[in-house]
Amino acid sequence: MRLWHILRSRTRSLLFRRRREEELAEELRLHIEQQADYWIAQGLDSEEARLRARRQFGNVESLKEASRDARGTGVWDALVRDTRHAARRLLRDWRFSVPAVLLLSLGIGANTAIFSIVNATLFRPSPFADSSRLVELYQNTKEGAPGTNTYPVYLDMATSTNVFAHVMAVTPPLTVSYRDGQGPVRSGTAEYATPTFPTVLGIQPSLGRWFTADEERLGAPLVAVIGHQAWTKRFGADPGVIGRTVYVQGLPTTIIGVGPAGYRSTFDIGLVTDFWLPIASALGPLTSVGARRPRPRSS
Amino acid sequence: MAIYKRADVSDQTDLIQGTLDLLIMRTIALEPMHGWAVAQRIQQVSDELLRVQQGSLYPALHRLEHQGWIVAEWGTSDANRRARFYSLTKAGRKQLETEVSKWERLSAGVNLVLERT
Repeated sequence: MRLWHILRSRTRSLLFRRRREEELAEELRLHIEQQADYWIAQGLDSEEARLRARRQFGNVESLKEASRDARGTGVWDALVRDTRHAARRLLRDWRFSVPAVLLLSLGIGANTAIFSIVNATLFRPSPFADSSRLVELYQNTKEGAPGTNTYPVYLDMATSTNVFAHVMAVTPPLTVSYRDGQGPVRSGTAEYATPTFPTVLGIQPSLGRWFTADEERLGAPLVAVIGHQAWTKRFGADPGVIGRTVYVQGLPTTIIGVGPAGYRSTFDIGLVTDFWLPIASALGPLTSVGARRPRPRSS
Repeated sequence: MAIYKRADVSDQTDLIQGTLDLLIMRTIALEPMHGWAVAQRIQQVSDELLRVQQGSLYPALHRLEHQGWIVAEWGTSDANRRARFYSLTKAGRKQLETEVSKWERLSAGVNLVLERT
C-alpha cells in the first residue's frame, strides 16, 4: 500500500513536471490568501492584510526549491537541465562536436576491431586438441617472406614429406549462396577443406561423418558437412538432415555430417562456418596448409 | 550540477529534526487538512508555544508525501476555496504510532537525565 503511494507520488513528480510546479505554486498562493483572510478577521483592512501575509510568508521561490528538493526530484531536475544545456552547447559548436564525434567513433571502432583479432588469436584458448603440435606451412617467396599456398602445392606437401603425422589444407572463409529445398536463397560462409582436416585439428563431427578421400576427388558427387550453428538455426537441429540434398552455389550437395558444437570457424575472426566442402571443388587459389607434427618419440 | 543537502530543508525550524513530521502526522490523523490549517492547528493546540514556519511546513509535507506516509488531494476549504488536503495513508498511521512511542521514550529519557543529575 505504501509502495503504491510512493510510486504514484514519484511518477507524478517526474512525469508531470509542469503540473507539479503549477500545483506547488497554487498551494503556496492559497496559503498566503488564507493568511490574509486570517489577518482580515483580526481587523486589518484587505490591502494591509495581504501585504502582511506576503511578508510573513518570506521568499516563495526558495520555499518552492526546498519543496522540490523534499520530493527528491531536485537532483533529477538538475540532471535534465544540465543535459539540455550540454546538448545545446554541442549543437551550437557543431564545428567542434562533429569532428569530435567522428574521431571518437573511429577510435572506438579501431579498438574494437583490433581487440577482436587479439582476443581470437591470443586470449581465447585454442579449440584444437594438443594445439602445441599444430603448425602452419608456408612457402617462402623469392624475397624470403611467407607466401601463399595452392591446393596442388598442398598435394605435393602431403605426399612428398614424411615429417608430419598429418597434413591438411583449408581455404579462408568464403561466401557462398545456398538453398534448402524450395526455401529462400541464403548466403553462408563456407570453408573448403581436405579429408584430413578434422584429424589434423583434433576435432570430430557431432553428427554423421567427415568426407573421405574418395569424395575429395574432382567429379565425385558433392558432399558437405554443415556447421553446428547452421544446423540448429537453419535446419531446426533435425538429425534427419543427414542425407538431405541442398543446393550450394547452385549444385546439388548431400549433407553428410554436422560440425562440432561450439566450433565457430578455423580462423576465429567473427565469421561462423556454415559449410565445409571438399577442397577440390574450391574456386580460389588461396589455401592455408596446416599440419600436425608427430608426437615426440619417448626415450 | 546542483545537489542540495536534505538537511537545509528543516534547518530553519526550531523543532528537533523529525519532530515537525511527528506533529504534522498527528494533526492530520484527525481529519484531512490543508497546509495553512495544519500550521494553525499546531500553533493553537500548543498554546502558541510552537510556531510552524511555512519555510519548513511545505517541504515537510512534500517529503512525507514523497515517503508515502501521507497523500494529498485537491478539495474545497471552509472558506469555499480550493486547497490541497493532506491525509494519512495506512502505512502513515502505523508510522505515526512508531514515531509517537519513539518520542515518548526520548522525552522520558531526557526528563530522567534532567531530574536525576
